[in-house]
Amino acid sequence: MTEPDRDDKVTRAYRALGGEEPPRALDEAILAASRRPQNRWRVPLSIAAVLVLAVGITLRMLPQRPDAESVALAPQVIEASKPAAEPAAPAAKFAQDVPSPAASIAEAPSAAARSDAGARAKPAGRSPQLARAPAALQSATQAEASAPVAATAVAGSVQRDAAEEGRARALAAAPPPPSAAAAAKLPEATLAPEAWLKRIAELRKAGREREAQESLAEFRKRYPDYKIPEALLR
Amino acid sequence: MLAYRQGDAGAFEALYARHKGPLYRFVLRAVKERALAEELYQEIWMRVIEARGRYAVRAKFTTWLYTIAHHRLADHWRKRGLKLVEALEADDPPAPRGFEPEARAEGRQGLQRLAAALAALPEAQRETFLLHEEAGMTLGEVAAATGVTEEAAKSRLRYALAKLREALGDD
Repeated sequence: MTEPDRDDKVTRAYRALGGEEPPRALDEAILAASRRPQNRWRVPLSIAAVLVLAVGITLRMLPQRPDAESVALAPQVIEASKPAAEPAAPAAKFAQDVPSPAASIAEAPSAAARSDAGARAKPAGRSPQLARAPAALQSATQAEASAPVAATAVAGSVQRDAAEEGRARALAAAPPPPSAAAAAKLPEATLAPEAWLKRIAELRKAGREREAQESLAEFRKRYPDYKIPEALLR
Repeated sequence: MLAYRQGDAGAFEALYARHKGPLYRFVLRAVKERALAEELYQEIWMRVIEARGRYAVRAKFTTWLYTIAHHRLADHWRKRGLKLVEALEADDPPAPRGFEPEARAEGRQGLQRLAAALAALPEAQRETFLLHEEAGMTLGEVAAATGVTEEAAKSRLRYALAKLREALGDD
């Protein structure tokens, strides 16, 4: 040892303090432990368990997507719940995504839904998306508002979840694609709302008043909340 | 240790035989209670055994072993509400139990004073002295094992030696 910080006298005195050794029993216990085979699977198993747990939690936290069955059921719900209103359909759809209490609640037509029955339930030929998306924002709000009417205390929170999910979906929803029939009849139905209104204005300008009226009526069905310029309403 | 990792139990026995005395005395003189020292000593070796699969040669085995010991002792001081760097000095500490039999039997007052002075050192200084003296580690190795700079280790060792020298009556 060539360290400068060494004092031979201190070292000698320290050595003279004695050279205690661990008890033999302790030696034997440690040596016995050293001979035990290492559990090679412990670490991989721990990692696998953590991964499974993490994936499980992640999957539970992901918003549930509508599956093929629930999408196919949506028009039937509209049909079956006549004169249930269209806005009730999203609530029914969302209720299918959550456990059963909400489904039964959504199937029961609420008072608010009944009041809006007639015309909107009519277009049974529309695609499920068409049935759901145009009034999604409104219907989600209505679902939230009307939920307590039919809700039991137990189902309240579940329905709130469905309404919140509906609102989120509505916000993310793109303009709804028109059905094949509507697109064939009204080519402008495939346009964006602004372009559609522009097309209606052009029809009026060209003197094609009947076509303009039909197109406007279809537009209002598709976009009931859209503020239509006064000039077009005249 | 690499041989032990490959399954050679005899390699561990050789390592153990070489390091058991110094490590045992290091722990005993750090905590000053035999039963506690034995418990900590066994835990340190168990950690070595458990870590065999992850062992990689990054430093001397001695440095690795005493790094484990340092961490275990740090845990111990933390549980007791002490920090390794700020343990207090007592003015007139009693001789540690671990040292009494030998010192009394020999009847040497100087050794008793040295034992008392060693026991009274701040934890960090005592640890540095023991690693240097008992484990035979260089200041660089002491610094690596205790997670401080070499300058800090050197400073601690100088303070410790000064106090021990003073206890021996060699100012």
